[in-house]
Amino acid sequence: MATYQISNLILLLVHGLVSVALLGAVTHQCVAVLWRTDRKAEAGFVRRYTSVAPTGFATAICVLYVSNLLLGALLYPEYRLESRYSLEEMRLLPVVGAFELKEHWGAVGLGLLPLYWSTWRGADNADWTRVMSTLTLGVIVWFAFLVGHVVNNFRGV
Amino acid sequence: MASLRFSPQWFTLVFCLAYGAILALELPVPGYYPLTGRWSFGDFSIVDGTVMHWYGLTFEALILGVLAGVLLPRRLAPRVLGLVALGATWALMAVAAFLLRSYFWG
Repeated sequence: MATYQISNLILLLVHGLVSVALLGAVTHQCVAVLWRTDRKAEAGFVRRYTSVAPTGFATAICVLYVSNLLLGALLYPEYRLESRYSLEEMRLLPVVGAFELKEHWGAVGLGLLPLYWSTWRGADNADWTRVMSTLTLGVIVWFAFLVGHVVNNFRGV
Repeated sequence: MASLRFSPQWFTLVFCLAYGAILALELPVPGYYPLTGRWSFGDFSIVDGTVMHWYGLTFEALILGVLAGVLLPRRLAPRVLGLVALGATWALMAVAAFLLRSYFWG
C-alpha cells in the first residue's frame, strides 16, 4: 500500500469520525428546536433528549462543520481521479450526481454558518430564522453524510 | 481598537447569490488540475486532465460574501434580511439540484 493511499485512508477515517460527531450535535439541536420541553423534566429518554440546552451546540457545530468541509476538500481530488471515473464507467450517474450535489450543498452550508451562529447568540428562542437555519443545516449535514456513505460503499477513495 | 463590523445576514445573502450566479452562468473561476497539481484562471488551453472548479467557486463566493458582510450596512432590518438570506439559501439548494438533474433523469 502506497504512502498516499495510507494518508488518504487516515483522512477518510477522520472525515467519517468528525462527520459522525457533527451529525450527532446537529441532530440534537434540530430535535431541541422542534420539540422544546421543560428543562426540569426528568422522565423518559425522549424528554431528556429534547430538554438539552441547544445554545451550547452552536459553536461546536460551526467548528465541526468547517473542519469536516476542509477534510472533504483535501480528499476531493482523490475522489475525482480515482472514484468518480469508476462510478461513471459503471454507469452509476445518480451516485455521481448525488456527490456533486453534496459538494454544492456543503458550500451552501458554509455560507449559512455565520447567519446560523448569529441567531444562536440572540436571546429569542422563538426566532424563526434560528429554527429554520438550524433545520436547513441539519438537512445538509444528513444529506452529505448519507451520500458520502453511499459513495464510499460503491467506490471508496 | 474598533471591533470589526460584520453582518452575517449580508454575508449569507451575497454568498448564495454569488455562488448561484457563478454556477448557473458558468462564470470563470480558478480551476485546479488534480493530476498535475496546477491552478489556472480561465486558461482553456491547458490539457492536464480533469479540472475541478468547486474550490474556485466556493472561494469566489466567500470573498464576495465577506466583502458584503463588512461593507454593507449592518443595521438595515437584520431580521428581514435574515429571512431573505435564508430564502436565498433554499433557492441556491434548489438551483444546484436543478442544474444537476441530468445525472438523475439523463
